[in-house]
Amino acid sequence: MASRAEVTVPAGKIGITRRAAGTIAVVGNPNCGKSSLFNRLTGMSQRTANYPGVTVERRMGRATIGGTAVDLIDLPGTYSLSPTSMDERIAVGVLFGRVPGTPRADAILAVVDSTRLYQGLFLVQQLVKLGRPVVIALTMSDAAERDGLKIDIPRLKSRLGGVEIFPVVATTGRGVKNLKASLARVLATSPPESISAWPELERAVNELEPTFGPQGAGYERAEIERFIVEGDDEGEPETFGAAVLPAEAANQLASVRERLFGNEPPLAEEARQRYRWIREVLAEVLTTSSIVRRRSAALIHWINQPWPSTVLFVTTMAIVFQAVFAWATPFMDLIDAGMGAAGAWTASNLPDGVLASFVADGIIAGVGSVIIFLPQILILFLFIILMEDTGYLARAAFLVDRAMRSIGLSGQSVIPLLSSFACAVPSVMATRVIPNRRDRIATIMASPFMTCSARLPVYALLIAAFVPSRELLIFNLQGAVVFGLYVIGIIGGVGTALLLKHSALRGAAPAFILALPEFRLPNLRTVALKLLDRVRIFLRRAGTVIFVVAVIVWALAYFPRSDAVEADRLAARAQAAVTLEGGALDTAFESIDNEAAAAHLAQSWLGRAGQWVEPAFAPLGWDWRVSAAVIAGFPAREVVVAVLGTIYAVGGEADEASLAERLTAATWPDGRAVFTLPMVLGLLVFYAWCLQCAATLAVIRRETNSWRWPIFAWAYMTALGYTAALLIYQIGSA
Amino acid sequence: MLLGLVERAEISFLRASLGGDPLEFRIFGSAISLRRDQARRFSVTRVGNDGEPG
Repeated sequence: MASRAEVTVPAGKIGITRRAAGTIAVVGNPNCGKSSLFNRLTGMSQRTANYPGVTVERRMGRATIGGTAVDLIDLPGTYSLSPTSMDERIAVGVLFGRVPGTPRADAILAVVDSTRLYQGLFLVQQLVKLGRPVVIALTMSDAAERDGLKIDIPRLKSRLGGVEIFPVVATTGRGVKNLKASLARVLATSPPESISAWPELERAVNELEPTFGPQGAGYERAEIERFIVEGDDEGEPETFGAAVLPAEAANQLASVRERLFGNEPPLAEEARQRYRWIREVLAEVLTTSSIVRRRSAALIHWINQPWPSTVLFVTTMAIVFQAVFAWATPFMDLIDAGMGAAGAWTASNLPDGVLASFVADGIIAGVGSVIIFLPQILILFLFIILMEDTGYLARAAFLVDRAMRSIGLSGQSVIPLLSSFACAVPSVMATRVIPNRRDRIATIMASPFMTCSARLPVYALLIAAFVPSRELLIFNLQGAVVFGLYVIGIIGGVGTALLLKHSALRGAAPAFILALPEFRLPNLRTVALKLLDRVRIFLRRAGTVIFVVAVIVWALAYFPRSDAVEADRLAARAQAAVTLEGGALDTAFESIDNEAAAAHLAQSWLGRAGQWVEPAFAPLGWDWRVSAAVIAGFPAREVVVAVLGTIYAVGGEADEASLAERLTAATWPDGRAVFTLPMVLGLLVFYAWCLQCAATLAVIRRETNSWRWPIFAWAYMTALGYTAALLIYQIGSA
Repeated sequence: MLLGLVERAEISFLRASLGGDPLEFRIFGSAISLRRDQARRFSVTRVGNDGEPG
């Protein structure tokens, strides 16, 4: 039997062969070690999906104990059953069985951090009222021992109505086996005995039960408790199981609330009552032995002081940036080379024509533009997850809160914002740690302004070609321009955040009560699973959009084909073959092909679009070629370099120097140079501010769960970039 | 409230962040952070190093 118990079968297969005995919800405070425990219990048999209509992820998994299988739902962390954020609303909704498509849990596994019993027991107190069997896992029991905390488990058990309690260490797996065995039993046990933490509330529930309970409106006792404390929040969208009460019931509820709370805020009264009981229980079950102050504790205390902590923060960020750029570059070069080789192979092995071009420039380039992001995103996410799981994220937020508040954001915005200097995609996804919605949206809108790595090739090309490499005091002029563009990005982002916080996102400063968890070692398995999760989300949500847009842009640049251009090309090649041979012939062929590609592009839909919008961009000093390249760069701004290469007939893979040479030589029909310094500076600022990145737009759409914000961000940033380029060109050329 | 900030809870001040805001407190063994203007709304009584909550 023992050996069978260890076998993990993928969930998909179990579904056919064996039904789960029941569903258990895994509930606990944020950062209590819940996810690590969930991973321990379910192994690799997990499925992740989104709850309908919201961006909260639903993680389900299956634990196999002997011959029994139970389904586990890992709920978002919450401090109580009174939800304050979307995550918590989901957690509470699932517990009450009110979220469509998610089964109502048959039992509860309450996860409590042993070192934070005080906060954990608040939730447990509410959970034991759900009328379902409960098991408690006391996580981080090793840390509690180290801190000199002794918990009298039999006594705690009796104070909690007889629920089973298991001390565990999720990172090492200690105690998990016993806990797991209890999960198979718990479904058959009865709910905990009632505990009398707040007798007045109990009596009020009894009074309302005939109207609200199973015989009446169909609510559970625990839900009736929530109505009494919170009132009926019909106005709140996305509140699962919001009460739609007949007038009579609403009156009855109002009178009970009036009697119970008078003029007191109900939630404050609830906290008072429940914490009174918790203090009473803790006085009985918790003994704190004289803490031996260990050297590590003294070190942590010292590190948390403002100045050491600032140094640590700056160092951490420096390491993250170094890693993102240094570690990712070789992989990105490899992917780039691989994609180039695959494209070239296709071009030479498929017959010339629409199919070869579609595969090479459409599909392969499309896939390439998705996975080229992966190395940076993986590394960034790895660091973000590590900071989250070590508890450092909250410390960083604490450190910089004041500074971030002065620019209209909050402490939690700092990591997402800094990440966006590498790439806005993981940055927007990392804004989930910001609980306040207004702060979160402001951060999302500010991130795409930061100079991401995809802007650098565009900057490099234009600056190398048009900004003289001159010493300016102690700086190099080219370097100073790059630095200036970084500053312009920051100004754009900060300005936008401030603007939004004073207009669309105006509101009272939110309560900023941040739990500061103790530092701890992350669990590698949890980190790996989270990383996989993030990457899957990126590939599925952003990847598909980037790919589709890349194929659309290919089609715009390819169609319609001109037979005349093709005939000219073949004629030119034939003529060259007569007069030249060997290396000279190859060079001639290449140049003929490049000219033909440019001619094709000129009369393609993209080329025509460039000519069509030229009047709109002419005031910025852009001719149709630049306009077409900017349009093609919409899905991914770095593409603009390759399009400029094709359009100026040096080939999409041309080296920078030969392209720069062509750009310098480009003229308007009347002979004036196109790329003048004011025009180039305008173009650079345009690229600093506009949002030419389908991946970021797709991720904003996903994270805000509406089209409104991505559309706004795109229109706003494009308008800003356009205006700046216009002003610079007009003033500079005047 | 949910993090334990209720009447008669014993709280100790640990440190201030960069520039004196926000503030870090210890309440029942766990650390929490409050902004200065929020912290100002609570009234506290000194209970010494090992006294009963007051």
